[in-house]
Amino acid sequence: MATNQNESILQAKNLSVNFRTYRGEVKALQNVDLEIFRHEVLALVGESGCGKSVTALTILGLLPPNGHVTEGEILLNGTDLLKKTGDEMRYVRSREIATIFQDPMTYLNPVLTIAMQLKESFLVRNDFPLSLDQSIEEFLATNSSTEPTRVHGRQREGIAEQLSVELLKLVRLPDPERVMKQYPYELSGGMRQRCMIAMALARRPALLIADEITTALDVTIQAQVLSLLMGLRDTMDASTLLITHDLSIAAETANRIAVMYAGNIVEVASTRELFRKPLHPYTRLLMKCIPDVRKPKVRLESIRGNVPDLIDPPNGCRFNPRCPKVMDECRTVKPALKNCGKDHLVHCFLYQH
Amino acid sequence: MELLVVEDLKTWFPIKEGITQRTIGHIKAVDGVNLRVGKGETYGLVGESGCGKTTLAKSIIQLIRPTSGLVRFDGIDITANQAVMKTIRRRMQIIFQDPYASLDPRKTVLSALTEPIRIHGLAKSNSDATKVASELIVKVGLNREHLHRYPHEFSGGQRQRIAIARALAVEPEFIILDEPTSFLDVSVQAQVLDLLKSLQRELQLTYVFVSHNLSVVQHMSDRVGVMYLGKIVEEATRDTVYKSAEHPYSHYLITAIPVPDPQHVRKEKLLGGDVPSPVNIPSGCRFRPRCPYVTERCKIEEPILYSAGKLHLVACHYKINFNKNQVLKPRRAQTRTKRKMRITVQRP
Amino acid sequence: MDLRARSDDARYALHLVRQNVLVLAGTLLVIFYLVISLTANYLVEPSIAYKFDFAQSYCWSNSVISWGKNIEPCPVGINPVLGTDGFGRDLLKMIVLAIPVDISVAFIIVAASTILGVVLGAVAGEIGGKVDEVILRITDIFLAFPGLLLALVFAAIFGRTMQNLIIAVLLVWWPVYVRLIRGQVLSEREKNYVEALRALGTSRTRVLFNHIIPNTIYPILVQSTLDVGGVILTFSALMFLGFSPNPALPELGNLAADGIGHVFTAPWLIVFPGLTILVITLAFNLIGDGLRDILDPRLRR
Repeated sequence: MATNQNESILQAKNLSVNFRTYRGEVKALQNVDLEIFRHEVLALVGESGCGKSVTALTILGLLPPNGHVTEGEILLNGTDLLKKTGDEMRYVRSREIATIFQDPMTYLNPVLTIAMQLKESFLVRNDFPLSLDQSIEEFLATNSSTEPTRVHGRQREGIAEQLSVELLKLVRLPDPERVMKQYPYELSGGMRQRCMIAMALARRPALLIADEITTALDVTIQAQVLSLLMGLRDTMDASTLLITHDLSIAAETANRIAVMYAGNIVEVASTRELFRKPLHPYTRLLMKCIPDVRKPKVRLESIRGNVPDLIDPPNGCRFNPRCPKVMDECRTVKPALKNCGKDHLVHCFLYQH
Repeated sequence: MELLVVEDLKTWFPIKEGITQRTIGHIKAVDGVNLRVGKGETYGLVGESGCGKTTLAKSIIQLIRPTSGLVRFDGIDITANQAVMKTIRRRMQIIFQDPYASLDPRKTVLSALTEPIRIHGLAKSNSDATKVASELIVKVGLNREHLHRYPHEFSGGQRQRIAIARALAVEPEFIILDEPTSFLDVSVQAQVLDLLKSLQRELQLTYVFVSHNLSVVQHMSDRVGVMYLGKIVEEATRDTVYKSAEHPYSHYLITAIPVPDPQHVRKEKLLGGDVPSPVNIPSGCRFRPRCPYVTERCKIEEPILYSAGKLHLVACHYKINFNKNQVLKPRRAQTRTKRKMRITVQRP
Repeated sequence: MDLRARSDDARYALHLVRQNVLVLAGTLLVIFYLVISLTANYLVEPSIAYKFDFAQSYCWSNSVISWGKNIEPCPVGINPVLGTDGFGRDLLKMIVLAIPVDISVAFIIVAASTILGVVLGAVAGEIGGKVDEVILRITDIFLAFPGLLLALVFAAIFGRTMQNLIIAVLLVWWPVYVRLIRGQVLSEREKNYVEALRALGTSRTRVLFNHIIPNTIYPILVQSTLDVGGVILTFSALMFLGFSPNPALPELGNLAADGIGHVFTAPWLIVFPGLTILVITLAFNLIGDGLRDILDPRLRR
């Protein structure tokens, strides 16, 4: 399925976010441009503190009270999310953007059964089929284009219940009827994560945000969950923003990768392009740091220096103190975006001239 | 030549119930582990959550008292009684996983380093201890000025370095590294791992490296043991485990690792099922509920560690061809001549 | 002590104080009362506490407040700001003299119960087993009694000297600390750095007193600060109920006790000492709350 269909679901333009702390203003995001196209999986990759979770929270309108957007806009299907009120954003969060977080134990309601939580996700929307002629895949593929149908309360419940069981089968949970009656604490980490995925899918969002969803899982379970996501990619009508610190996961699941460093997007390219020819020095160094199971190295490369303090970030390109290819202008001016062909975008003076 | 010998180590935690607190069962976190580590070697211990590797690590250095079994360090039985362990303590150290929790937040770095030095009488005066601390802090890649700061002023990677310096302060011979880089960023991880490697060469240290991150274990280890539900199910040299693992669990574990190459296609199917809990251990082979090659024999008879080659042990009744998805033949238990395994350490 | 790290803390503390008006108010009030405690003997001549003049007892002459019809005005030439008490002493001056008494008694009791409670609780938490059981049971026994009652009984049995009264209130307050620190110690012991210290060969005593206790002291400090107010209340309640060693003793509860029999004819005797107790308790509570905010989230940071 062609991914870059030139139709973008989400466009963040020139987004800057600051946090007010007692030590000063933390410039968490600086002029971030991000675009997510229909049906694609975009991985947002970066190390801790780079701002990837902040980006997600800003899109969702869930910044903590001391965070504020200083400039920019976020267009979801054309409308600017930053201009919406609290209530409107809640609507967006329930119908148009679904999020899966890292630790399902704290994000699932411990006193409700899976059935109750899953049905709730279905019932968020009004457009329900009157019967179950469609398969669950077809149901999920139909998105906000259908008009709301008036289905009565109890009937809705019944349909939602059946759809829930089907959905749990789709996310490869064994014995779904049993899982429906269980509480989150009775399930393992991997199973809970699948429930969260099911709950997100049930809302048939336009955009799915997955924030470090496999970080807390064991390797074999992580592999299962990622393979599930890849399988669902074709069933869902949604685009996915996959946030991770692990480039290998991005390699496996994403169509395009955006690399972040210290609040900036430094490079964006299709996955294949990025690995074939990483341009930004940070991306290059990052790839050298990762151990590859197939080819063990004697010495792992590392990046000298430390992540900068975002209260007083370096002038110009924020990576300049640690960059092996730093030039004078890097220290004073921020590099503009350059398209190096095949939509491979990079912010680096090495490619400006 | 072996520095560490672990024989049939078991660490069980009782499950108590009711007003009378009677024991109704046990969590068999470590359920019969044998291993040997040669001087200067790095033994990698891998496994997923619940496999018991952290409990094993702590049981070896007696931070948790094992329920039964033997641990011999440099020939001395340290499980016998606590008094013996006190004399050996210095020589066996541990680095923990969470750099944010392993340092006392209210003590300066200098204090954290000099305290163990003074406790063990390794310096004659305070100024001597400070000198040693300064040398240590530089050795791990930080500056002398850092000595006067508090842990919360440092990043995760720096704190791990401080923890390493602190462990080195008592001049150990053996260090258990319990997931030392799990909480660190990839770029920082590389620094810490390379530091550990160079320290090992310089100070002739012996490591047991525990991790669930198989790529990292591969980078650091000479030999690797794969743990599952309290037992080691496969043990071999590093390359053997990663290239030609013979136990189904090891095989699936390694193929599950994400590879930083978008064109890599995973040929094998993934392992189904969930990571089990050590409360209810299946009869026969522990892995059988998830094993695609399970047979009747597997349900009844628990496999011993069969020999599958030089320095290669596998706890599986059968030899399996994973590519063809075929069970080939049952293994034979060799009549064991108790030959001591000569472990030679190969360094590039 | 590294100054740089401390100045960071101070900035954070200042920031919080600025943010929260109530904490600021509490801090200022406490400073105010502490200053009065220290200077009381210079502001007011202490010996007037024992100079009685019954000709001018229970009178009021301050025209700012009018208490109604039953008030006896003071004799000509006497103008006490807040009226006089049963001994004819100027109430305001007596209050000034009483403040240091209450505050110092409260500090002594809080300090002693904190130390006693912390040592017992820490030992219980660290050693565990039978020692823990014994200490816990003893603590439970003391906790089971309603505080004031326990103090009353003790005072009644052992007599009404100042020392005994202090001990009486001390008996009521120390158990809370035992449980508090025991819980802290139990959870702190599981932390990685404690395990690391054990692996390094550090002795249990050293780990407990050099590492665990300093790290768990913050909730104790908060509790102590809050308790100052509580102790003042309990102590003055004891006095109020008639257990004062000396009816003329300048002490807030004592002064209020005098007013019980004269609620309608000399209401200022209950009102002003009572208000003082209220404000002091409130001030310490506010500062305790502020301390909790300053100390706790910072640890989580």
